[in-house]
Amino acid sequence: MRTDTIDEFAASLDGADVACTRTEVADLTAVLDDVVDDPAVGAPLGIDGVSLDDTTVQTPPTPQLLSDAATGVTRVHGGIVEYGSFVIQADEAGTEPVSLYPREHVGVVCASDLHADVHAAVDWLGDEFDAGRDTAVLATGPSATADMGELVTGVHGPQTVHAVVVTDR
Amino acid sequence: MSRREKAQHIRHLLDTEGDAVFENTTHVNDGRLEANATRDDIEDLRTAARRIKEDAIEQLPDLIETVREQVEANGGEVYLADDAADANQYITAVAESKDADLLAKSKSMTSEEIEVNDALEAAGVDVCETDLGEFVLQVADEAPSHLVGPAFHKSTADIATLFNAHFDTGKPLDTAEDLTQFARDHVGDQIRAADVGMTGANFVFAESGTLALVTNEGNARKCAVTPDTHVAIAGVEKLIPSLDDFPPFAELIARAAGGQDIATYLSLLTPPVDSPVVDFENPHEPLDGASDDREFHLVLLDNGRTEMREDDELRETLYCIRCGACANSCANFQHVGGHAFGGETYTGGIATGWEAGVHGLDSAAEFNDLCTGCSRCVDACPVKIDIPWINTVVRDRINRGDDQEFDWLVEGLTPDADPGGLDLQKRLFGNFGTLAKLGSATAPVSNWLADWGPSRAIMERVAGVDRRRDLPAFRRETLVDWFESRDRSRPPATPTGRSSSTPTRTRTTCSWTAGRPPSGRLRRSAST
Repeated sequence: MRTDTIDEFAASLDGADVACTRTEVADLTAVLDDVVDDPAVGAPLGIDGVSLDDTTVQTPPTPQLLSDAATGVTRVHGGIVEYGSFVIQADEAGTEPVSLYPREHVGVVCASDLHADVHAAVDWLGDEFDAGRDTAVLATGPSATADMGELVTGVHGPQTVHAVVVTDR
Repeated sequence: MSRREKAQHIRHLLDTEGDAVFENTTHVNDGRLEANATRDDIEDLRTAARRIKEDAIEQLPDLIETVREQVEANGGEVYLADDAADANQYITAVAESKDADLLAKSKSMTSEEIEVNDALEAAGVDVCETDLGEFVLQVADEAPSHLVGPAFHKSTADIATLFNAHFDTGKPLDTAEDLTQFARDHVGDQIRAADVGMTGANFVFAESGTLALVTNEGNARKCAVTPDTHVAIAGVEKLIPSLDDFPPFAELIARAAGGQDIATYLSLLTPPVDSPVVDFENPHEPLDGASDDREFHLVLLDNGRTEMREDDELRETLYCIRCGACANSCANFQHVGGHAFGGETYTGGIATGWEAGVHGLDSAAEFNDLCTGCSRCVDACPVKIDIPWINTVVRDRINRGDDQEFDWLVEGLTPDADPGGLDLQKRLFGNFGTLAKLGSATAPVSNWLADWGPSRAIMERVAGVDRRRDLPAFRRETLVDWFESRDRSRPPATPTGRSSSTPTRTRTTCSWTAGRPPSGRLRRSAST
């Protein structure tokens, strides 16, 4: 993945009020320990050679952990460069609720999973749907509402979002 | 409602809700224009979105069959409900089969259309609205005033007063942040305790049986995934063929609704989903989607939509993606809001089509006159619906609905072959040209007569012309006479303080209330 694509993604994340940390896979667990607020809960990342067991992040998720955790750590299966969006696919391990319930979401996205725009991301998702992975959310920035008269972040979903981009995967 | 009562009602809303509505619509209009300005392909996206909706409505019966087969293959149920009562009966039966005490619902105008909360509560199932705007209205016991921002008519101070009176909040809530936090925690507890989750759907992809939900708060995600039972309600018009058709809508809907480049959450759910049920009654049990037994019901609502599809004039309403841009861009809506500019369920310009289609002409007649036909909404609409035209058609149908007692008074003024049934006021203004000829031929007598007290009283009573309103002053010399007799050696005189390059716009709403039947020619001239 070219560096300028990652730069562009980082710029879009910034515009969407999402922090971005870049790392190589070898340093990923150390970076996660650094960026998460404890207590943290996670769902398996599905990245070869990386286990949340090597971090302070607790697995598997339980309802109690979802309630108590300050941070939820999950894989982000795709990124949309244009808007700094996460594409998070649902799975039986609970990636969807872990990315949703805690106040902070830390999403781990591999540079090779970045797509230029919505069109490209939907093309990729079409293949994923065909393969049976047919539930996903395109999430852009922290949850928000203007229903109380002005814009407030942190409603039912996370108040802060942090992207960890694995540059060599 | 009589004309006088309606005027009183609107004045009351101007006083109580007008400021909040104006502030909110101004804000989202600025956002929409700004967001659209960042792309140069908005027109292409609108054209593509329009075409997808046209095709989808055209092939709707096939799409219904496709989605039914696919959802059932996925392990869910599809119920095609004829009307509101039918839908409510099915949804209530699902809740009862789960012994549900509490249902958590995300924002859905279609659920408002069928008034599902009342049906569920009558069956002993409590409903918690989880969208914070809807939650505010549930506490206030009020109806939504906007398709997207249901509590658009309330300011932060209004909501603080409401919450502080209704809840024991400890220290009084004051800021938008306080209120959001309080509501989030309160509603969050309800979602955790809910037995059934209910959502609407912004789009339904027939080929995969997928719901697309567009939200910013995250409540719909929680409602869909937390309890083991998910009921989704969607009008049949929400069907589009597949995921491939989604990109233009993903790009357009949040821009049109509130000026975001993209909504915070675009959820694409193909239920029953793999995500584990989050059972807060067993807080230490690890989440495991593999062992869950999820249930999913998709209720597709007809409720008049099949007839709308067959109606050449109302069909376009079914392309609506309910972004609220027609309301926000409308000068009248910006001042009175959806409690005046809306019917039983829907609000804003497009509401005329929806109300006429799903509730009937009477509901549309309550507010339809507020459309002036200016066509600002046409440019704002992401699927290019000719909303003024729908208003014209529906108004014409309403106008022709009943005979009037004083028809003879304007009979000579109406050139129509078949004037019967039109409201007198409509016919008077609709044939103003005939009236003006008579007035100028007899000026200045006609002016004296028109302004005479008893004449004004009759005009007010019979034709609804307020006696305080200035009447046009007729002159016997016609424009043609004046033109031919003018001194050609001098430039034409211009009114004081106004440049000759800025002509005064004199064409008003009269053309929209004309007694002529709708025609293609009127359509083109009126909606461009």
